[in-house]
Amino acid sequence: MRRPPRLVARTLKSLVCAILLSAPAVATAQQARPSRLAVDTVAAVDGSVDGSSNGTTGLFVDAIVSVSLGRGFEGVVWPIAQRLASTGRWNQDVWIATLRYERAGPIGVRIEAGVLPSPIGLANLTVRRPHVNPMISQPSSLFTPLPSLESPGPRPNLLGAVYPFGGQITVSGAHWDARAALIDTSPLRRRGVFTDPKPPRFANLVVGGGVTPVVGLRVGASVTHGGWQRAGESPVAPSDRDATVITVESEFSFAYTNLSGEWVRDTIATSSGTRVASGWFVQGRQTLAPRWFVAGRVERMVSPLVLPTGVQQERFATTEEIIGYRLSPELTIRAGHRARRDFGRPGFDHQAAVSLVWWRRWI
Amino acid sequence: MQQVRDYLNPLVFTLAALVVPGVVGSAAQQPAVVSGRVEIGIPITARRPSAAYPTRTVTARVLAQESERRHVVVYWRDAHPQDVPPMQVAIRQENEMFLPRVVAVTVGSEVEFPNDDPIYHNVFSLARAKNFNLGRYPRGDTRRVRFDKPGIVKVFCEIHSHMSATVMIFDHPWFGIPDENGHFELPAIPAGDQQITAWHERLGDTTVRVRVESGQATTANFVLPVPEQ
Repeated sequence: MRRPPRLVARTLKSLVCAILLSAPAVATAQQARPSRLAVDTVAAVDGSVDGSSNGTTGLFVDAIVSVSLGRGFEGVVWPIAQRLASTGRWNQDVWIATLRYERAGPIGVRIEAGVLPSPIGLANLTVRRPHVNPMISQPSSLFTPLPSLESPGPRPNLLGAVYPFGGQITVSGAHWDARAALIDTSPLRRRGVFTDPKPPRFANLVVGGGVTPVVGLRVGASVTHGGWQRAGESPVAPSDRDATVITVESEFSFAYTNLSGEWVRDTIATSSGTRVASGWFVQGRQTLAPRWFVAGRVERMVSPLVLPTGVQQERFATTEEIIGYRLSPELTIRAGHRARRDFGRPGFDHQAAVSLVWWRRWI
Repeated sequence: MQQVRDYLNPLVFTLAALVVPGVVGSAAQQPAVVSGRVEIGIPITARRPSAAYPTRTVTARVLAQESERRHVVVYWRDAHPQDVPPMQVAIRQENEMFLPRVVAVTVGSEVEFPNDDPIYHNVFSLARAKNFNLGRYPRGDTRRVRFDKPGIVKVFCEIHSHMSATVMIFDHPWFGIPDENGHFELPAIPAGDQQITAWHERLGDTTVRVRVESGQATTANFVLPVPEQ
């Protein structure tokens, strides 16, 4: 005799319940286990318009995928795709692909190797993902080339958006941290895994550290030394040239206020002698209400422009002010104003900008 | 005023029982305790810390070994709003976790959020039932939030994306969180056909229908996400 489908379904359901209740697996299921995989993604769109009604639109999509390998080991991959607002060109790259080992304790240890999170400075470490960047734009020092230090020759960045290949060791206690890294790229020149340009590889040594006297305040510094220009890259570069990058950074948070800043000084060897470029930014964020916040950033750079007739100091300045509204924990909309005075320009260009950022933790 | 309300509440309930028989049973019928057991039928995974950029310091991260059954809230689905006394509970921030991760309180209750970690947290919620942002405060400090509307409030840390907690706010007394072994007991529910729901933050609502006999203890067992028949 054929059983009615509803009866069969009920019998099956009861059977499943009985098995689930009696099986030992149920007992183990009462305790959550840390997931092996962790995935979160960001999608952001931003648009800006200048005083001449010229508009640009940028898009950014990324994913952080982390796999726990057990015994303190973890693999982290960060692929990104972005449409550059300035050129409209699409970039696909992998900014981080690293194997990380962590051991917590009175003196915590972290060792990582691969394409690393930047061991240098603050900007590369804190604002590259749109949902953790309180502003719409990122610090200009990451992307804006310095004026020509020799002609013809490559134009370095003050501190480029660099995710180098290499190894890093970090140790830390309750109120201090120290790190050393050996990387394959000068922080003055951006290098992508899949994107161009591909500057020459140079071994650069990074040492850095910081103190945390009270919770919420950290002051740190780092020194990076290594080659930045290969012999023959320029007709006036008969030999490899080195650069030293010094950074001092600080973060200070309390209640509804968050302040951070970074100062960078580059000492760059060129055919006409050693040149010094420097710059800094300070940014702050203030939470006004659970959904509302305001943020601002001021940035300055000073760098020499080497001309046949002599050397002159060129200045760069930007400011940005934004107001943000959190539609949900995952969705944030921001609107703001930027003023930017490029190297060699007499006055500021103004832009209005808006952005929408969607962040989601999946696993 | 409160005393007058205390006297009136049983009277209102009795009158309601007389005029709304389908909802609260007939006057001759006695309410009965509903108890049971909750099992989690599928493996549950907890979010672990993850970041592209680790902080410059290496922090200790120990996931709390709390029973998933403590993350279930069982309640009488058909309950009508009542005046209920406020409660005082705490959700601690410990080892980059909210402990406990799920609390159930009555309307008007205050939930405390003490920080036991040597780092900052920033507790916030954008829920309709209650939105708040407690800012950053150090170890040893605490902040309180009063919940005045019934509903579900998801709580997060602005700094640590793996941290989340849930506050369920009820405008009636018929709810509870199972103990470590999964046992729960709801206060006396009027006799009749009733719906009992077990809510879990990942598994959602699971509802069973039970027949509450007058004055007799009733059992409602759950295997989440599949209800026991």
